[in-house]
Amino acid sequence: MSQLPRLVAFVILLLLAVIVGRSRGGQRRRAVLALAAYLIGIHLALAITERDWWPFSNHRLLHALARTDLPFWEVQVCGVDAAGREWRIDERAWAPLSDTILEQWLGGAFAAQPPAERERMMQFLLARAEGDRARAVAGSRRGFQRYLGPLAAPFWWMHAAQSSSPEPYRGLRIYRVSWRVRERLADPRLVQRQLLGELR
Amino acid sequence: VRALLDRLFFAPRGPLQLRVVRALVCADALWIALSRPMLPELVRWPAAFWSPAARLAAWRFALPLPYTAELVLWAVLHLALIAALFGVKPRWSCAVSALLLYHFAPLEELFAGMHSSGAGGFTVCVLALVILAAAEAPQRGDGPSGEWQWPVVLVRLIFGLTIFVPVLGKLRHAGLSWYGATNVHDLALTFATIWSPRPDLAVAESLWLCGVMGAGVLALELLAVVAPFSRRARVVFVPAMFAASLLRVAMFGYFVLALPLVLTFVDWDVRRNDRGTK
Repeated sequence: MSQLPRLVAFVILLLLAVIVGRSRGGQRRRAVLALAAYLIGIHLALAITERDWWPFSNHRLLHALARTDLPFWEVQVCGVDAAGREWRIDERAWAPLSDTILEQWLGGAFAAQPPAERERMMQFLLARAEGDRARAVAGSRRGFQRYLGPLAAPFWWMHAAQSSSPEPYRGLRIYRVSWRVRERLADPRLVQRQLLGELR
Repeated sequence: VRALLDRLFFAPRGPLQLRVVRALVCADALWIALSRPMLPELVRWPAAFWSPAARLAAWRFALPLPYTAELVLWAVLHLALIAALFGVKPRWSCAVSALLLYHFAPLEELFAGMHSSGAGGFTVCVLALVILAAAEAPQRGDGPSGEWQWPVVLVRLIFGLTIFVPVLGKLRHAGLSWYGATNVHDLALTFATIWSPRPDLAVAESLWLCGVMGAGVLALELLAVVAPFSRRARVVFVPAMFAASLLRVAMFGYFVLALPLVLTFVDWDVRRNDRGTK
């Protein structure tokens, strides 16, 4: 039921747009102003109540004060080659999903999966990583750059490109990497890695 | 008040600006859609990715449909955007594009519970296309009319609101301190540990520059809701928005996918008239 008001909010926008499209003269002007008032009102209401009813959003990102003393974390997915070397997988392997979204899922829902399901997930991710690696080695366009190349729209949270292994991946490791800002700035190696899953 | 509203929303202007705004919105949506070439494939990802929360949210977007149906609709979306871009049956093509974008856009984030708070690229495009579908389509030879003004103002307003409403969240959670030099400095340091290779921290190390940036961000966010209604504000807003976006990418790695829509704030008809009188 929590989705119903969100749907209704969008349907109201569509109805107002239809009324504008069908009306004429003074009625049309009133309908346009009602549409403007609705757009302003719903955005302000969502910002104040801190709700997100996409496509109406509170656009809330980085809204709190930065805390350099608190721990930060990210999830890193690494392919493992035959020699046992780890290669961080480039986010283009997950396209159209971004690294950020996959991280959120791996950092949360992944741990709640039963072991057999986790293994199936890792096999799926390994197959995608290996497919992306093969395209990288062949010099082909990858992921979100498949059609537009370097002119493609990046994901809103951009990640640095990762180098790919010349050799096929034999396994996969998923880490939760955490750090404190001040410590890591002083020494980039000061991170803690926790293995969330491994596929041999 | 009525006279003011008439002046803001229904002042007569030529149809060129509306045509340009429609083309920019469609081009931005098409650019992002072509950069997410396998989006319908997500309906075939393993079922475990579809958490109960994702399944609950998905029904209001009519997701997921059978894969073949998704592929057909994805192709229709591209055709509709191209048609709208070139002004072919613009009201219908904008309406179809808006509804199909509403269907597809959430796929990008559904697995993580739509967590980006509107930062996904299609957010402004969906709302703008609904507005453009309601607007009259200019015909060849049409003269100035209030009909060509209000859709332009509303599309700009939608974009402006996306920049302005975060102010409320920041004030609620951090107060004006959010815009202070110390917070901007700490934000830059935090993101420097996330990015690899680490960005140049020369700007972040200067508290004076951080203070200027914080004040600039607040000014830009407030300007965003004035710019749809004020030509003078737009003259400042357009270059400031591009400069702020470049800085945001450099310091935080955060890209505004709706950035091309800042060009809707340029008064293209005025520029053409200016050239004509020189």
